[in-house]
Amino acid sequence: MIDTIFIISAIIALVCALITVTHRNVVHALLFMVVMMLAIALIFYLLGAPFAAALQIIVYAGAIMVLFIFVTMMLHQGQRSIDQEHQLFSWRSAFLPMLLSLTLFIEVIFLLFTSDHQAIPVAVHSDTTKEIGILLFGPYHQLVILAALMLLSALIGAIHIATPTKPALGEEI
Amino acid sequence: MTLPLSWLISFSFALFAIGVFGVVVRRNLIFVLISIEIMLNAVALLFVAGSTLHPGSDGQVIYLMILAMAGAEVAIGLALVITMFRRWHSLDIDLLSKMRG
Amino acid sequence: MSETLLLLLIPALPLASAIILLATRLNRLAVSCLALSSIGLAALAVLIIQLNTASDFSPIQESWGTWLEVDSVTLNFAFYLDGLSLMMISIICGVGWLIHLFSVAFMAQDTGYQRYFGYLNLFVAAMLILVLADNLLLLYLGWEGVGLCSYLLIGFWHSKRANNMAANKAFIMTRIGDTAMLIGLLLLFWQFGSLDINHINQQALDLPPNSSLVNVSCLLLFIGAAGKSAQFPLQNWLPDAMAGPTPVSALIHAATMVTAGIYLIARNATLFGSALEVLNIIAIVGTITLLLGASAAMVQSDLKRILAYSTISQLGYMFLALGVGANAAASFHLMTHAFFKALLFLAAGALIYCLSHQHNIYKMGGLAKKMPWVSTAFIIGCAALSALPLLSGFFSKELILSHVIDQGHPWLWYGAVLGGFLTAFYSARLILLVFFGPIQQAPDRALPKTMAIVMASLILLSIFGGMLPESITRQFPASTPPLSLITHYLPIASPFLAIALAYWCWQRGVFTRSITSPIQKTLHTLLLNGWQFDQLYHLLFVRPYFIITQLNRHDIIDGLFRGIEVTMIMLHRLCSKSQTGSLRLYNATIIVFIVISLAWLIIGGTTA
Repeated sequence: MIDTIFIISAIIALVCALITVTHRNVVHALLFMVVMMLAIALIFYLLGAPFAAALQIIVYAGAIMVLFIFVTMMLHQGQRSIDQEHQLFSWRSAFLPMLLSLTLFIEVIFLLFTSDHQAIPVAVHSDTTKEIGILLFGPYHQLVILAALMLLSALIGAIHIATPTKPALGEEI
Repeated sequence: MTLPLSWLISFSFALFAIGVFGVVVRRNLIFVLISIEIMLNAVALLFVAGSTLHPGSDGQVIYLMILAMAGAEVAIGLALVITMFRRWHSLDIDLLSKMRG
Repeated sequence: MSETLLLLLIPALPLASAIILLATRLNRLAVSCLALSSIGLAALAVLIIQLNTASDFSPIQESWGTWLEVDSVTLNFAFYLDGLSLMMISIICGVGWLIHLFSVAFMAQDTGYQRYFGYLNLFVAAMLILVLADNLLLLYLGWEGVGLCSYLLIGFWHSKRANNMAANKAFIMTRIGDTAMLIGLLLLFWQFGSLDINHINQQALDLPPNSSLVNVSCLLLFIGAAGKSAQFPLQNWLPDAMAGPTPVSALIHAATMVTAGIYLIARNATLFGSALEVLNIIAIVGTITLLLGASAAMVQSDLKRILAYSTISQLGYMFLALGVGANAAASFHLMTHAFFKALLFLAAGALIYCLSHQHNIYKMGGLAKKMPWVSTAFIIGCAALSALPLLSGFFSKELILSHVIDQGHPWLWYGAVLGGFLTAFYSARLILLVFFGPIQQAPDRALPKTMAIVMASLILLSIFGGMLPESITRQFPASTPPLSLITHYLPIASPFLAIALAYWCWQRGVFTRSITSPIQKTLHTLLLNGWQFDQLYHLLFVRPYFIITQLNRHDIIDGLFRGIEVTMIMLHRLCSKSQTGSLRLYNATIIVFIVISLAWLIIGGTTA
């Protein structure tokens, strides 16, 4: 049964990703992306990583995607943007890139199937959160510090970049 | 119950390929960033699968780090998007050719 | 004073005075005193050695110190005095001092007075080092030194371009010989393990005669000697070297430097004695040269050029003597030649001085009455040159000729006798044209007393030099080989026949007649230009070189480097095209590259 659920979520995720990448309306694309992330969260849960699933929904779909939507809100100009997008993306020009990514995919699959692989047990861990917490405070505590620093620098950088500069007289923005 | 690893890897790479496709083909900067997110997701999936495969939860810790990184990157990327929009009032990345030559 | 100390002083004094003269500024009197005293003291030292060792003589050896020490080979600044080198240093210091004295008067008005004497002293020092050297490397040092000084002194009046060219020519042609000599030295070192002259000559006795290595190294040494002593085919620098001051020509190109080659071969007599093929070559080259020089001297119009070709010819006699193994005869002729040739050059210098630098003999005439000293000097000198009986040249030349025929070389003997005939002919021509007949240019200046004294001393030496007692010329055995009637008397009679012929031609005005028929004209031009060797070398060497430089007009080697530069710029332009600034292109490039890498991994078979 878990196989079925996995396959269904996988298909949903793939389809949503495809639509996200080829849609002309930014907002719609973002929403489809959120759905994709939900599907992936489900797969995480199936793999026995509930903490990861929760994080995926809370942080990824809940914070990062919301960031995207904020910016889109600021910059989206309604129908004009959608029409612009028609100009910017056409299926004719997408043929070669499609070929490219298809080649990439096929190569990796080929590599995959010419090496021996095993099956993953999908037993559900208990106390995964506790384990992760212990790991974070134990062997991986430096990673936490680094991540915090990185976020801090990203914060400062983003503020600095996005602050509008006061234009001097006669200078265009 | 077991899940064949090949399924997971194929799925992950299919997602990654879709992300690559998006990066190469779209001209809107926001869509490029979205496609990069898709690629990051695919890789995160692999890591979590790895954590399940091997005893211990190291894969999930790395997933956490990927998450943090994605967040930081999106923050700065979107700040740059805002700056670009302020300059050109359009998000076409072909306008970003000042480094020509 | 002990002989060893004197031996050390003899080259040191001129060297020290040369350094002082070239490095400081002194007034004329100081320069003359310094230069004359250094050579004079050296000559005095030689005289003392001669007197001390008159009764018993054993070779003296002494050194200034160590020069090189490599592995097992030690080379010192060591000097070796035996009979041959004692004779040479007597000539160098004695005749050299006389020439210095002459130069004081000759160069009195010249602005480069101090420089001149500096170079001259340096030359004497280098020549003494050459002659006294114990090992071949020190000899080579002196060899190079005299070459350098010859260059400096030929181009002494360096504001005239022709003088510089002549100096270059002399230096470059002797350099060709020097290079061959250096290779010969290396071969000798390789064979014998040392460059010590006595050592080499002793070792040479142990080898079988005519061994190839000895032959080759001796041939190379001979080429070096031929370059320095102006033998065929390296002889055409000597006539042009007359561009220098006349006392320089007297010292360097008559008495000393050009005899360095003969000294080299005479010194290594045992070594050359076992290289029989090379000795044959030396004899033949000597004969060719003597005929070449004598024939060219017959038609020259420049006074000094006649004497230059005459020197070439007489050196040929010396090489001929060496080639037939008569080393004593060659050294004897070297000595007498130094006397009368120096006399002739100095007399020519006096003549040129008094006629305000007139060189052309066709513009002179009838000077016998006006300049008695000079004409006497010339007549005696030319008589000695022509080997008229009882003069010094007579003894030495007869000795050479008798050895030549004794060793069984009839053709060489004929050539030598013909050369003697031509020698007398051109000498007589010279004297008749310059000193007899109508006066064309009267002397402007009086003959300085100094010059007269010097010439008088050399006159005495030219007359009596052949009869010097055995104790002074201790190298020369008195043995003369037995001769038949013709071989004895023909060489004695031929100069007189030549003089008679020359007188007859002069009376008929043959010398001053203009040449009409084309055959005569070509012959005349040929001889006038010294058998056209200059033109030949120009054709053989200079023109192909110019053609090559014309081909390389655009500098092919540089073109290689410019090509690299151009290629780099092209590549840069090509690569710059990829910097389009388009973000999409960059992304696409990255992805394509990843795809290709994966494909390569798959195809390469490594799936790790």
